[in-house]
Amino acid sequence: MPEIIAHRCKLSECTVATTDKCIEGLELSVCPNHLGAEAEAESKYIEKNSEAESVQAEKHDETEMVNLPDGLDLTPATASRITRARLTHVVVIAGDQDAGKTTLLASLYDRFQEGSFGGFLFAGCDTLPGLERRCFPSRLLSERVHPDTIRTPRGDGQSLLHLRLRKQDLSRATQDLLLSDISGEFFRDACDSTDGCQQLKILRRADHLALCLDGEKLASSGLRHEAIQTSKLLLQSALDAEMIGRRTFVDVLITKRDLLGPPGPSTALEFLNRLRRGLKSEFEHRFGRLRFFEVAARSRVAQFPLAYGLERILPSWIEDTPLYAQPEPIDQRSLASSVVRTEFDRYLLRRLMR
Amino acid sequence: MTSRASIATHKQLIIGLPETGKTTFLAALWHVVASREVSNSLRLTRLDGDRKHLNKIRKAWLEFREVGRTVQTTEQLVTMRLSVAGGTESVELIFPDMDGESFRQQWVDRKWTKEYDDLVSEADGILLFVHSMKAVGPDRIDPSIDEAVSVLGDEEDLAEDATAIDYEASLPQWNSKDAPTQVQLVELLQFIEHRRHDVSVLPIAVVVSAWDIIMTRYDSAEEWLSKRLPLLDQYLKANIERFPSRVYGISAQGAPLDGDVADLQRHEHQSDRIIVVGEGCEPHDITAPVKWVMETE
Repeated sequence: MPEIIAHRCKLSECTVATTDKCIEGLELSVCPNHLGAEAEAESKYIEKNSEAESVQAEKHDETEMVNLPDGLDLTPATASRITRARLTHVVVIAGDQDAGKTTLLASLYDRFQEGSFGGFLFAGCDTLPGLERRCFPSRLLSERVHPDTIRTPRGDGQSLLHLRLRKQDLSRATQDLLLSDISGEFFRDACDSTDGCQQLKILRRADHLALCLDGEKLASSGLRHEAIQTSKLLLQSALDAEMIGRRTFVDVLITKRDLLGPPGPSTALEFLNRLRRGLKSEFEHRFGRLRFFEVAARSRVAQFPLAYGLERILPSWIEDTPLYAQPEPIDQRSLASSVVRTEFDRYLLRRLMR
Repeated sequence: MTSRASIATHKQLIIGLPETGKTTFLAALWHVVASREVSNSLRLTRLDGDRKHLNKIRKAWLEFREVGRTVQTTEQLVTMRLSVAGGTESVELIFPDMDGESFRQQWVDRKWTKEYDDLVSEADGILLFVHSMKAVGPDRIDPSIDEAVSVLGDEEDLAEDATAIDYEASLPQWNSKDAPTQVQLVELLQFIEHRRHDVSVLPIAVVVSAWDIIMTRYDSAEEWLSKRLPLLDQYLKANIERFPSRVYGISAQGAPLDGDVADLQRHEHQSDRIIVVGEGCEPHDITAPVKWVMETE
């Protein structure tokens, strides 16, 4: 069918099939690798040469079909259908290139394929194809020797992936989570200029900022200093541009924990402790909350299970929001928790609580 | 006699990827309701309408032949007028017998026919089929496999593995049709949720087919579902208010037909070769999931 053929690309790493976006950030009509134009020309050729009756029948078939949700990655604009319908927590996963942002996201989803996780059940997902595509390079079907994650290209823009979860004891209703998958290049831009930072509009809406610090780099005395300074610069830049602040819960995630060596005294872990203390004293008072976690989303060592460390973070992403964490009188907080159901409620509450 | 206008109609969707035993189930169901060999099963109250498809698949089932896959050109809307044992009220049960490939195409193409959309809107319940041996899992490149290889492999193999490089250009691209079974099934249910405009409950009976092959390895069909399709299991539990569910293990054939079928042929009543396990159902009552869906609101 033409609309399926149109979403293919000559480049194996291009994600146009599930995102509708060119990996190079080009319009599809001008991208030299996009197969849509060729496929379209081919289908027109076939159409011209086929009998009028069969064309008519095909058109008839098309009109009899009902389109279903495409399951593609969401954008901040398209995600509004979820946020308008239900109270939704947004988690922006930030960090430099290769810090493990996409692996974190994919592994969290993939972990639910094994069973409940962190006390929560999988209750639905509006972006299943998008998440499956991200998991594919770590699956046997990919024919890879080692599990991998395809780098998120700048051309994908600021994507959001969706998960709907529910407490395992069913004591609460389902809760929607939107998790970002944004190229590290955007975060580099955010470090470099206020304009670049303000491009990351989703930061303003974030309930949680998960800042990924590459454990592999922290383990290396030659790479750790630049990695830390980049992360601090990102926090400072986002604070100064007023994209984040007291209304944001920040979790610093030390990724690739398996590469930092076993627990116990070591130069790398001592360095990590000093880093924690330094970041706390510098930033803690400027956020709604600042915490530190060690994670190994998809470890190369069997002793770290899939999504290691995320089971301790996930419940707070689902249940906590800075909206309720402001030092407001208790009656207002309980009022908020009892009435907020949609984004409009949330907006109204913010206005009332000012 | 009850007039046709007063008979309640109950529509149940039959959903399942290719080769999950949907048509074989219908063949055995048709035999059980028509023969009345199983006590307390649903039973046929009156022959009505076109029964050619049902008779054809029942014939194959009674001759110990594979019932055969439904292909897209031969989709059938199957109608049975049934009542509970000892009951006087009839219910007209309508099942669409659709090709499993068309369900896979719904996941891949993200669209379905207008006719199916109407069935989805009008459905009172769902029979969801999975094959006990053919569920495709999210098989990962697991580090524990690497470790096992490192213990068992010789030095040459290990050196080769350590230096192996994945050349992107030669690797296959993601193809949505290869997604795990549980992901595709969850999406099919989400499509139904998306297209139904009411908020009424839609009971789902999960039928684990070819149960005879794995029945000694699992205590119950629920256990099989939670271990083999945990994403679907969680989805059903988390959405229990909308999709109340029950899981059944069913072998409509009773045993694999590629082996010796003499034991199957020895049954005086062919309904006795059917194996059914599930909460509150009798051993050969293949109508149990249908009854449960009818009774659950």
